[in-house]
Amino acid sequence: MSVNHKDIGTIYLYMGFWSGLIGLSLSHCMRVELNHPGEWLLGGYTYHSIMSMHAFMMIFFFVMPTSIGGLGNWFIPLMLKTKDLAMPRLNNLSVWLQLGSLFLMMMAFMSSGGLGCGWTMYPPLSSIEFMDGIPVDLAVFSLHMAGMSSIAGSINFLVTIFNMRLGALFFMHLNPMLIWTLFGTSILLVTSVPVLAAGLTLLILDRHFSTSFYYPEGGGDPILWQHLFWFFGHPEVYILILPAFGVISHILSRSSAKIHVFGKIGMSWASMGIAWMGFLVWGHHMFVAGLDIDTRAYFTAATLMIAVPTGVKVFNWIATIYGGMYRLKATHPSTFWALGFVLLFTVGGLTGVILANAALSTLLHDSYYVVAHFHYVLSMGAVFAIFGGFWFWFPFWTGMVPRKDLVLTHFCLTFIGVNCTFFPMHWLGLTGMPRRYQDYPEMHTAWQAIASAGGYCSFLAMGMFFATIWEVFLVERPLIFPFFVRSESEYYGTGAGEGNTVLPCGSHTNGQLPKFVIFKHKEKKPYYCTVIM
Amino acid sequence: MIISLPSLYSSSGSSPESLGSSPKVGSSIKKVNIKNSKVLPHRYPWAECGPSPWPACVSIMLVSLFIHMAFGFNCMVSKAELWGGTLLMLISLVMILWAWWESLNLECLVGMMTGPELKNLKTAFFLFLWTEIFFFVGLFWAFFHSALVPSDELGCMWPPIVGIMPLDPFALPLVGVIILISSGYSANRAVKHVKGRYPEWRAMGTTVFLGVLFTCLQLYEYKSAGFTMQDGIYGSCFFVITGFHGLHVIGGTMFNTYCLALMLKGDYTPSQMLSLRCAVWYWHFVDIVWIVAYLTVYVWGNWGMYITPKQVWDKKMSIYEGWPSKEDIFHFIFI
Repeated sequence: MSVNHKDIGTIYLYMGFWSGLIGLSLSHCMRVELNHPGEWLLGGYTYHSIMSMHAFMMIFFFVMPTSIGGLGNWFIPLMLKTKDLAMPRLNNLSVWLQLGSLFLMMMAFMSSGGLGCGWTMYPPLSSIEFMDGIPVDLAVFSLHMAGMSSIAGSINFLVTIFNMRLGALFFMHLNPMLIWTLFGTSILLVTSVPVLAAGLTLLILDRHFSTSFYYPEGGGDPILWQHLFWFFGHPEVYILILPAFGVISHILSRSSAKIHVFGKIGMSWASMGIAWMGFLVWGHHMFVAGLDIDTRAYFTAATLMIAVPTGVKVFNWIATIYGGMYRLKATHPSTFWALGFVLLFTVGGLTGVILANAALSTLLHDSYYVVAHFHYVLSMGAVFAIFGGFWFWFPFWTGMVPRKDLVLTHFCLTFIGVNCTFFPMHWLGLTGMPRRYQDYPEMHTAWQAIASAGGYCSFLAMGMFFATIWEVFLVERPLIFPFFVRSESEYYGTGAGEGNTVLPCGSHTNGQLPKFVIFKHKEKKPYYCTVIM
Repeated sequence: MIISLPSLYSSSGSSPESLGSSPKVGSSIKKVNIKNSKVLPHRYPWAECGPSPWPACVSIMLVSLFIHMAFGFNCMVSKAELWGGTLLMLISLVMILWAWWESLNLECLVGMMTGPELKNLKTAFFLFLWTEIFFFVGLFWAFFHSALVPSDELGCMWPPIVGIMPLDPFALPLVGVIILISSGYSANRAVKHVKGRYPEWRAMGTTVFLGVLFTCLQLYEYKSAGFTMQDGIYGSCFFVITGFHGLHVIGGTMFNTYCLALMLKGDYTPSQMLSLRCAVWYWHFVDIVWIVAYLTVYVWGNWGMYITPKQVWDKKMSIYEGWPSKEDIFHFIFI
């Protein structure tokens, strides 16, 4: 019911973390099953359901609510020095729609054996002949609701960023990188989610109203679904990673004691470039679908081009790190997550560059190499950024400080766990282990066992995370000296007059507009400064 | 209009203090004196609202609706229950959205719809239109995917080689285009009337009437069409595109009717007419989608499969036994 952006951000964070736990548990179920060759613990359909649900939970209910809903709602008004988002009630609608969507997805999972068609729901597997019953319909409706939630939230963010910028008069002066990346994310969402909605509607019509969109017998084409889905699906993965880019820029600039990330304008342009080019490359998910050779050549080239702005960002982060003093004992825990991100996301990005080539993709499509790639960029990219951002802003949100050794233990266990899990998948993929398979030839047993061991390590890591959270709320260690160096525009104006003089951040901030003060030298251009009165 | 909804804001019955505002910001706040209303913060030019139950209600209603449709489509309830229940739930949803709209009206009455807030709402509406455009982009993608390279099952032809009698685009659909374009023109005139403070409602009335006329025309065309949505990809694409367009026409007509009612009540002033402008923009969007649908699905899609105006002309002229044919006229004039 609340229309306060901070409350809504907190709800998103709770919902996201809960869903992340569900997704993690589902992945652990899979890893236990894959520990041995042969179908020994789960039936085939159940394994497929668990796998599909793992993907839905992680993508739509963990990463998106946490990074876009949680961080976006919390920080867009604060960083723009305004009181709340443009339409607070619509904000509330977004979070309620997301909760409803989560409910529908859980219903889909719990009914009739679950949702065994993969998160991509390709027809004809998701058509009525092969998957009749309510799970697919409930999942489709859940995605409709999640889509509505994302659209409402993105419209809110875009209106706020366009119209309510009080911290910076000119658009290019949007200094906080998180604002830039959430701006790109919102544009991706409002453009790509309706196309998904169209594809999903056509799937529902095909399933229940005897239309022929995806049936070749009627003149339709299953490839149409792939086009519509991946036209959404590729921007979706940039939606997942762009807020993470913003978070990492914030963490690294702070831990290097710099005002802002190196080359902030280049970083802004790179974010916009990634967002824009993300619309042009969906075909690289369809390299084996029978596309024309020239089409495949185009998508290869376009996908390789996206590596350029991404590389710009990675190099700028490295340049941000350069010149900062990093001593183990004096480093904020969030810095470890950020450094891990820069390293591991780069690894994932490089495997993505390999997969971008249509020729190689023909061999590697739907193999574990792809699984390794996207888990490196998501499970070690987006998730590291989420954890890093969580600990970075935890004192801001709660005024309390966790025990550093517990946080670092969680980090180390997670780092070891996810690397043990996903690095062997590169070799598994190259030696031919297919994706979404529950059973595999015995030659893959060694790497699969190591991957499962990494899964157990991640399980321990999550226990460590619980311990850390439990401890910090038990002890309520207050933060006395904020670690943060004041930067150019990141005052997160909470109190009257200056930046965060008091933590935790109050419920109602920026109650009044700042007064603008214009300094003008006689011959020079005026420059602007805002003072909160 | 008497407002009997409970106050969504502070429960204290303080009278509004003087709305002092800095000259540059918030100067367009109307000084409205309403009993039991909370004073508006004058240093924040955008609207603020208190907690509202309507978003949660919308979400719960949608969850119920989707569960109902999921069970219904899978034949787990009777058809009557499915469609009756869906209708009831949609009506409830409309009622909840109506209640939400009422809070917006309340906010307008207490003067929260300042210039900056109206700009926010305008930007938000344009972004909403952007999402609607891309929804239709998805549907048109399905059409072009099927029609540009027709599959073997269709006989490598579009319209399919058997089974479909395409509709003549120069008959009823063209009338539909003319109706919608005229209604767009009358909608613009309605906006001009309100801006110029004319007490003239007939332009908006024309828009509503033409919208209803278009819907009736399309319903007649649906009934008289020689194919259904189940007739392969041609029927699927045709009915999905025209069907969703028809739903948007109905929604737009409802929006227009609501704005007409407000206009008749006299609630619009030149500075407070955003809902009318939004309705008219939505109507233009609907019009443009119809023109695109007409040109792609009806004209381009059915090209060569219906009797063309040239054939009609030739048939007419053939009764004159060859004189003066167009060649003769050409010769006469130019040679």
